[in-house]
Amino acid sequence: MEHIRNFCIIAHIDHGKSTLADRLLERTGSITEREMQSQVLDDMDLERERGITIKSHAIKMSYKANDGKEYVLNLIDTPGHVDFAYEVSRALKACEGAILVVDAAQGVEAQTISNLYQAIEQDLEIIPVLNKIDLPGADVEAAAQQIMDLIGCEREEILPVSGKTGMGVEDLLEAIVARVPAPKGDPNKPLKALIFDSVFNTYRGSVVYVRIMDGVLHQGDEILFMAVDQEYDADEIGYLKLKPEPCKKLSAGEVGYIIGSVKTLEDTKVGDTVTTKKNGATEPIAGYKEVKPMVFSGIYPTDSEDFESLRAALEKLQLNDASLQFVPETSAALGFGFRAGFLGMLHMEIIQERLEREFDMNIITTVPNVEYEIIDRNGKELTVDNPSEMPDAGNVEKVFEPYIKAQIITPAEYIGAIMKLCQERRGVYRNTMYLDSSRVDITYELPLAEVVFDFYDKLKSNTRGYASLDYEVIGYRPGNMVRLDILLNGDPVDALSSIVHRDKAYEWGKKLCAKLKELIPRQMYEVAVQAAIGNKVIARDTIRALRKDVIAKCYGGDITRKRKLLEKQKEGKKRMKQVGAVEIPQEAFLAVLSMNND
Amino acid sequence: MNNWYNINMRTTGIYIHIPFCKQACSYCDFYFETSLKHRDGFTEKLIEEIYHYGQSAFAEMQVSTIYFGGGTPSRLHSEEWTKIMSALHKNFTISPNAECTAEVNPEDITSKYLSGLYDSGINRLSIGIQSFMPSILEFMNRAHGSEAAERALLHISNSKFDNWTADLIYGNPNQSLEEFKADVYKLLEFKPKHISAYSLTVEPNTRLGSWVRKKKVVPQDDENVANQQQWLSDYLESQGFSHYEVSNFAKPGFESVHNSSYWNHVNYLGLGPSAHSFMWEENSTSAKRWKNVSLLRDYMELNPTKIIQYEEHLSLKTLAEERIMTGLRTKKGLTIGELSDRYNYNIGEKQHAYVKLLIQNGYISGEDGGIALTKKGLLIADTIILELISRQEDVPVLNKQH
Ligand SMILES: Nc1nc2c(ncn2[C@@H]2O[C@H](COP(=O)(O)OP(=O)(O)O)[C@@H](O)[C@H]2O)c(=O)[nH]1
Ligand code: SF4
Ligand SMILES: [Mg+2]
Repeated sequence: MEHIRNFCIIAHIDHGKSTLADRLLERTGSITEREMQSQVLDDMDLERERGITIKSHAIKMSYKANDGKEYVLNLIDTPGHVDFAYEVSRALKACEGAILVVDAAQGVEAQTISNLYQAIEQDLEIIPVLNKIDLPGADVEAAAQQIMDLIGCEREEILPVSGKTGMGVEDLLEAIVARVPAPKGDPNKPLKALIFDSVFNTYRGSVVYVRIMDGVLHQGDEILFMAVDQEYDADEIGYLKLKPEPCKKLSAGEVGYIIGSVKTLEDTKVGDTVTTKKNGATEPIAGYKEVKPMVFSGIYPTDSEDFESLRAALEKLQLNDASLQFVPETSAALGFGFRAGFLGMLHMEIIQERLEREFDMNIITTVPNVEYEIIDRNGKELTVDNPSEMPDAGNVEKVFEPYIKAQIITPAEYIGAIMKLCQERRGVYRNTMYLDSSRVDITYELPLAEVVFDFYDKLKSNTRGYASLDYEVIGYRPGNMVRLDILLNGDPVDALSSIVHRDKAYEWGKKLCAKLKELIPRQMYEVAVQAAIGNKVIARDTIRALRKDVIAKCYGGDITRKRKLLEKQKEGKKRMKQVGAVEIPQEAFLAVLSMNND
Repeated sequence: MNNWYNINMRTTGIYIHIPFCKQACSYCDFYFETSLKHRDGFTEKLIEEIYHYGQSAFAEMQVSTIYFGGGTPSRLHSEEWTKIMSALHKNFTISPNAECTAEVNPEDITSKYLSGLYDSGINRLSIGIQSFMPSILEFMNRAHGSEAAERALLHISNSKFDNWTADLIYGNPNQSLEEFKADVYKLLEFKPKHISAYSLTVEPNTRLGSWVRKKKVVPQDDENVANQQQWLSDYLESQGFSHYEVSNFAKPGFESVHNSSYWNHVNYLGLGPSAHSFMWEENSTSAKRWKNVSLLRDYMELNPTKIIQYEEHLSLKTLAEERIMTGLRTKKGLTIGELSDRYNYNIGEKQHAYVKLLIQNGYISGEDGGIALTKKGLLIADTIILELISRQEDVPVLNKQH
């Protein structure tokens, strides 16, 4: 056990975590030149394209240190986005040390801090690293000062590296061996293995990634997943190299995988504890939490006949992503579809993109919303994740909405702009902390609903891209929310309803009507677009009837040309949805997202 | 069966493309040449092509229309007209009352030229006036001015040609309704029997197209163009014209037979560079449309057997959609019976419902099995056509042996 080092890398997005991981694999000979594909650990296409790590992975390396001894280094990669904060926390729990990577050209940012705080909370040994020192724009001293202020370390403890050139990687490996403590844990105690990730394999079922905290797991053991209370056999166990490497036993301190014909990820939840059925642990590892989706949206097939294929596609995605949830729903406007729950906006975008790209689905998604808790006039409590389920204003006694604590790190000159933005979004100011003379850490409490739309984009554009954001959900608070309906020619279009704060409803309705007017092409009849709360119309606009579209052009005998034009238009129509007598393009269902907020 | 379209199957039209123009109009994307480089020998080459088709199936049909389009056919000399027309007569069976049209431009018209044309056998003229407003003519880069336009019309009025039509273009940038009205009033002074009025269309591969892209020219607002079109329709109808197709107006009995045959899938043979031909053999379940090479140089060099640039085969369904597309642009419309008899195309339930909706809202006047757009419907014909065609359910193909 004293030759094992379990560690992770924490960093703000794009600071170079994946690149540095590649270098470590290379230097330890865990991967051959030929296998080397930039950013090996991000193995989903989409991840590579977006340059973000979505699912965490782990890999076992062996390293012969300067002291002449062989060490086992288990690198546990953590997701790099706020949507996956819980998974990060469980991955951290599997480690004794964390490499804190800071881009020397960017300095400390929001995620650096939130991840760092989590790591400190878990008592991890922090190895601060300044990355990208090869960059001409790197301001090593300024960034180093920020780190020193942040974790109270000495200047010498900070290692300069470059994931790109490989400079400093050798020293980093030595530092891992020297500074990260060997795992503690008692092999003689009952088995306690922490699940920090699980992936689904079509042939083998759920593959569970674990860190053994106490005890020993033998191949063939009968095991119990404690939170879900499900039993399986540990048919195969092993180490996580680039390819899985089966072994006979995993002991306290080690990191590995378990395969046991588990048909669904539902049973292998991140954070749960695995123990043996016989003489197993009585208490699970503390801190298990059921991850709950925070953002919901409707997903509908453009062509109603694709409903079953959409279900199949979602089921396939869910196999690999237990945090994706969905239930069938029907919309008068869009027909049969699903209401899906996501961890956050990024998660939602990823799922939508994968549906279109990997499954070739043509989908319409509705405006995302958060989940509300509502008490109606009869004192009945309900949970609403779909605007159409919200009772009419007259029947609502009280509404509670989720709040987050947002941590925004920004150059000091943008404080004003950020405060203005947060104020507009019904934010409650909490605190400002100077990281150094030019950078501040601002804390706000905000309704999640105000953040899910375009808060992040606005934050970026108001600060020339300098501000960074991290958040955590802090619970429900009362909010004066109402359902805003959209009516086309007097008929409500359920898929266009949204839940908004009463004070903003009027402005919101006005803008939404104007946006829809822009997005819905003129039809043969005049179309009235109205926004209403209950029976009260608060805004209206009119899409004038189409008056002329015929091209009075002379084509002579070239009828083919005219027909080709028609065929092209016919193709375009496939992306429209007929609602009553009105034809609505897909973009209209997301009109809210493209509304200009100023 | 002795429906009119079965009779038409045995007749044909002939289209002849004369690709020369004096100068390039800014909006035009037809095929034409302003250079005289390959002008010599053109008539001989055309006659060679006529003789070539004199050996084809077209020679066995009755020619009911001949149409010289362009380009600018009035760039041909009088002797050339005589030669071409006599070659046509030698190779085809031309009906004694065939409609023989020549497009002409004002700058080419003299009384002598007109009598030469008439003597060669042309009995209908189509003159490209477009406008009488000097500023608009200049914007269009037409080869004639407003005086030349009036002079040419005067010559035609005094000629033996009784059946003639003039082209107008409306919806020009900045053109007001009043200005357009003035063009129409002026034209009516010469008592045309037929008028074709086109709304200016911005085609990408034209000078106009590039002006619009560079924002040097802002196209006319749709609403204004619609007003002009509607006014034109109302006014010409008040003057005894029938608005028989989106862009065509005629006094009774003066509808263009040649154009109508395009809309009805009557066969036609296209001669000259870039000309299209169409052939639908009797009882065949597909038709053919082909196009000659566009470039004059290629046309001059190639043997008539190699002159075809591309050809397409049209299924009954495609033909039916074309028929809906062209038919709904006409006042006469089309009939459901025609679609099923001739095209084996059956109007589905969704289409029926849609037609009913259109009738209720005054876009279609539907009388026993006929579908024809009203004036209001004609203005948005493109949308209606698209909607109607898109509502075709994919009916499973029935196996006839069962
Ligand atoms: N110049 C330079 N670029 C780097 C270095 N490390 C990473 N990058 C680049 O920074 C970007 C983000 O790196 P990545 O490893 O994906 O960051 P992650 O989001 O933290 O995983 C990529 O374009 C990398 O090529 C470095 O040391 N020097
Ligand atoms: S005269 Fe006719 S064919 Fe020639 S350029 Fe002008 S519009 Fe085009
Ligand atoms: Mg990454």
